Amino acid sequence: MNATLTPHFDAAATTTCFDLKAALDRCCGDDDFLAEMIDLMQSSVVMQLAAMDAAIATGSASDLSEAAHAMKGVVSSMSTSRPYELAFDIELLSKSGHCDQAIAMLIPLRESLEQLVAETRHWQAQRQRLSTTIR
Amino acid sequence: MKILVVDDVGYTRHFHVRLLQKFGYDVVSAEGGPQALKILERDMSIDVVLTDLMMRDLDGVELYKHAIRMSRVLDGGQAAPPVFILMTALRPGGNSQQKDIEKLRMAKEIGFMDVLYKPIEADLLKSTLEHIKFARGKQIVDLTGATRRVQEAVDQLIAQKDLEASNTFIDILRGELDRLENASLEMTPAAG
Repeated sequence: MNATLTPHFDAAATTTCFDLKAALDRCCGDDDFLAEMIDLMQSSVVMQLAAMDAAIATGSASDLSEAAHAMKGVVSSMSTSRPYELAFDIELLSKSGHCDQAIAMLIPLRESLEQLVAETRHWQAQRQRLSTTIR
Repeated sequence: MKILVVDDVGYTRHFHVRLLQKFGYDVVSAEGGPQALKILERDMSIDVVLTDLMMRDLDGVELYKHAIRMSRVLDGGQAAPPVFILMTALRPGGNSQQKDIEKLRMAKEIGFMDVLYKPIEADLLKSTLEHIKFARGKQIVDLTGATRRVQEAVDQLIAQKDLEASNTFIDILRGELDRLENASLEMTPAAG
């Protein structure tokens, strides 16, 4: 499995993964702080997907559960919708020994993370444009 | 106030460290329970431990159990134990496993001051820490001895039936009561 994210943000998508208002509130309204956390989230998501792939390759349910638990923590400050729920489900399924079901959920998880990353990149680009305009 | 953040997920650890720094606190961090114990052993100035529940090597409840057995001594005597706050994504009514819910229940019983559910709202974390800061900064005024001495003086005046001394003492007490009453009008709960 490939852990690299290839964002294909669909602007017409009816549901969003990135909850900007909640994320900004959690950063006390400080968009510099949010931008820093988005950078870290984007790299952490790739790391945790790689950890999940490694856990599957070695057949370790506990490693898969731990990586899913960490993924849940990584996305929780940006989104409590689909990526968070899927990571939580994978954590619980692998912890309870239902690894096949957990592995099957990796595809929708990966898709929702791609969407989350694309949406945060869209926000970063907008912010960059705004910053350039103001200068 | 100095806070130790304990979380084995780098992203959430960094997030909470940065958030607490924004609130103006002095913050240190540990990437797990064993490292947190080492920090607590050498740093007596830590007032609050904000720890995750589910961690690989030593979870939040086990960290608490080890930490409260630790002797923390300063030059001036025993250091006050830090206040522990638990962070968790578990929800008692959710679909978490029973043993995890049991761990959460145990955390509440053994002495964690509070349990905050992830993702933690910044305002809630801020107000929780302000409450702790107020409680820890407050100097306790021990009135036991002073009250006992007043009672003993009154007992003595009654026993001796000394009217002049009794009236003098009543005037002194009234004067002090007036002074305290006037001063208390300017006291607010936040001024402690």
